[in-house]
Amino acid sequence: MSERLDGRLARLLAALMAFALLGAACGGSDDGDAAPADEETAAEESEGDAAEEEVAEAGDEAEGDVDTEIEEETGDRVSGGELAVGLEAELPGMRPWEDTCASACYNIFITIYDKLMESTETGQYEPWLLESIEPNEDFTQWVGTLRSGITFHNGVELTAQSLVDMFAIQQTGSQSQSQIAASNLATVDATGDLEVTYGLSQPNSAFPAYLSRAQLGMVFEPGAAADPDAFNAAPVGTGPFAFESRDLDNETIVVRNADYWGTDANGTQLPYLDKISFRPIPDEGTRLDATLSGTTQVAHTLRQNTIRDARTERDGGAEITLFEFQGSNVGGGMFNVLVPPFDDVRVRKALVHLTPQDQVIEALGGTGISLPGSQWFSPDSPWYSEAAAAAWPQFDFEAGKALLEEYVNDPERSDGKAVGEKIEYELSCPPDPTLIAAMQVGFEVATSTELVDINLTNYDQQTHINYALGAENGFVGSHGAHCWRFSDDNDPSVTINPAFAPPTAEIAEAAGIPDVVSPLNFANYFDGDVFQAAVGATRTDNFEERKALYEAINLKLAEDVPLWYSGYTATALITDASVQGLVSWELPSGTLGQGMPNAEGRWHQVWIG
Amino acid sequence: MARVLGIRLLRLVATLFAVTFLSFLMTSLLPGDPAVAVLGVEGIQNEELLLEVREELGLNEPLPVRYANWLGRAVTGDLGESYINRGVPVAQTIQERIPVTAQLAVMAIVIAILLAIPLGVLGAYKESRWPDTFSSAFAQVALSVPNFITGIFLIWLFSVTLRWLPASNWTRLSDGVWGNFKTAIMPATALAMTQMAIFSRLVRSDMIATLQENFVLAAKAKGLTDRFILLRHALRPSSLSLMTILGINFGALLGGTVVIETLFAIPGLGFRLINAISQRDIMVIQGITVFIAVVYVVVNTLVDLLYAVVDPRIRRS
Repeated sequence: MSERLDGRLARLLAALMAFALLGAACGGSDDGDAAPADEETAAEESEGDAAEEEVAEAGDEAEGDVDTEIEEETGDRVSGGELAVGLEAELPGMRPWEDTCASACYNIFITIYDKLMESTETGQYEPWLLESIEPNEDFTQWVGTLRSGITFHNGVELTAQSLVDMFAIQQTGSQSQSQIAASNLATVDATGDLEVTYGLSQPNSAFPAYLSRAQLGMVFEPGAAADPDAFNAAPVGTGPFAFESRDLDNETIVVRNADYWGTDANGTQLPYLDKISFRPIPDEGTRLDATLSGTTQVAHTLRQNTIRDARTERDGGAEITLFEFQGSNVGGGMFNVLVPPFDDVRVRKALVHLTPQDQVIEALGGTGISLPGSQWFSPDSPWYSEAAAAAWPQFDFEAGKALLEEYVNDPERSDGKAVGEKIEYELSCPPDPTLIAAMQVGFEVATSTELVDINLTNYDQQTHINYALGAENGFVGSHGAHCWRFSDDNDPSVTINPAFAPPTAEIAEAAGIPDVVSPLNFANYFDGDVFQAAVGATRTDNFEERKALYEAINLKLAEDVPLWYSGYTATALITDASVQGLVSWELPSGTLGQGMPNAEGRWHQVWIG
Repeated sequence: MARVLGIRLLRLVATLFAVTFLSFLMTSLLPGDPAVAVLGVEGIQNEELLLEVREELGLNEPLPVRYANWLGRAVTGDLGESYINRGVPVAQTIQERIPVTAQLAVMAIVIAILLAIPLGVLGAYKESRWPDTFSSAFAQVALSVPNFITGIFLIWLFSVTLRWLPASNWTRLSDGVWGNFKTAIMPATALAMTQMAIFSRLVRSDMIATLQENFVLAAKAKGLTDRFILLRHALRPSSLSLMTILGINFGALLGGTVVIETLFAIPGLGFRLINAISQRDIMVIQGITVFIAVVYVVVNTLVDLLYAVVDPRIRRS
């Protein structure tokens, strides 16, 4: 406990200092981190007899020294009971089409709204509220059939027309609009009472992935949503729990939907729990203490420091369980390849060679928790490529120094400096104490070559994002090297396609694709082959073909290094020992679900044992 | 008295104007685009959407125009709407949170006074002897330890170890007095410690001075008990400084609950302010800042006026 107290004090002091900076210098800070990398593994895997209730999962340990958690859920599933869940943040709003929804929010949304599709343990997508979905030959049309007899919490029946009416609202939503564009969705038509036809402007074999996301996939009652403010105060979905009340910044309560359509493998109606109270507790230490003290039964965390603290408590005898998940979200950073000297691959590769990844992970507090990153996918992902992992430049001081010397002594060097003059650049991260420590590691090694001068800067999350976005200069951004996070556990196309599309109109024009510009290409890296591979992966639904294309992309990234990686992101739901069912939930087909990626629980099959 | 009141009111208006202008200027100059915060990183798929949101939020207007628009509405009580929790008026946000923060501040002040007066009186009465040394040392420690550290310690002791009190969140008074007390007592105590130290030092030094006064010597000569003299004769004149500092500190507490509310996840003004800053919710930042400033200035004005009422010398001057 005293170790953990020390850690908490240090973090609080750092947060206070950061807060003071914000006020004093308008350069500010908060404890957010758009960039850092906290990592973990808890790949839960079931041997998968779907009829069997007790699931012993988490078979495969990812390689490396990560202490992979193996959870077992045993005992009879019990209906009834209440849970209090501590979340890291309050959600901005209750409207999936309008409000940003990160991990904390998702935990609440998933109780109120069913999704049309859901991801499985192997990263595939299966129908959830839909009963089936089929594409046409070129993936420009998808015909789905809804389950019958489903009603919203206000008693309104769910039909295909509901989805059409939802689409009209989604087209105006600040969150849904971007997903409509990204998925190529153009039309939604009711072609039967329960049959809906999605028309796409471009082929997209990964379209079902978008129907598993909040912005397009979560089903809300369009009639109620006609008044967005009223809906925000009393949201209506078809989910396993119905909204009861919300006390902003304090508590959101959902209660069992007695008419829910879902049942478990034994035919018992879901959900098991009567009520869940979600409480935003921003301080990591307090959130864990709340669970240790019985104030809450679950603590949600995206921080490896908290995972380490929770492990310490558990090993010290606390009766808690860690449901850990090492996702594909990978920490690291990006070089702005439109800005010298990062327009030269020698500099980028040199700096990756000069980054001792293990030491960086240690500085981030991730040793034994976070696996080293080498690509867009974690070793637990079905998309992971051994070849890409082998190709990623490893720490090699001499090789890095040699590349820097080559650049520095090149009369044609891109930064316009004189031959022999040191390279100068800015490395910027949010003011998280662990990130600052990690920056120092890179700084020490790189500057020891005596070939670079690095200006380390820290900005709060919003400023950090703004600098990377660079809306004021045509989305080029003013940054040089910038901490960031990449990828997630959705279909790869969801994050890869916008990240490697042309970043500016000029580049798009030159590439002959003037209509495709993506502000989300933060590194400003564009390569025709990468772009074509990313597009190609949305033209086929053959897994092996798609995997080969994503492998090619990751191999190219290892060659051109517009990004660097620290480690994969560990997340966890820390529960008291009675909470069961977070890893063993199943889809209607009996297929095992994805567990709790990004600390997002599926609460409909959780029970208190 | 009317003249004093008039001058105070004029000063109040000038101060509020300066506060609103400066806070509007500072929050508007914060780097980070509220439109980006509204959309989230994933939402920024194209420039048009970003421009649309900026237009919707009125962010394309020049700063003076935005301030004038805001001020025009603010004087009628309309502090605008949250950028992030769309449709929620800032005034409503403040109104919902005042009871929480005010309760914490009041409880903290009460706890601080209840501890500070005995400690201060004891220190003065036993000046330079061990009880004085003890009370001074206790006050020194309380003053030196930041309130969030006290908070962490309290959570560890009363929640994790003893399991007597909830570690976080808030039970509203309407949901039960005992439940409310259980969620309020630790954060209020954490807030109270620094105040207690300041108050006890003030009471001690004022009372030491008071105890040298002739009327105290006269009371002693009349054979009154020490306890009677301390509590009936010496305490009241020794409380003038305490009263002034109470006013100042109450205002400061309203704005100073930020860290404690965040630590204990209490839905007060401070917690909302922190969220608003991280989300670049400028209307909420502005609204809460102005509200705290208004309370601070009004409370201090009232204390000044009360001071004049209590002490005829000040009134006459």
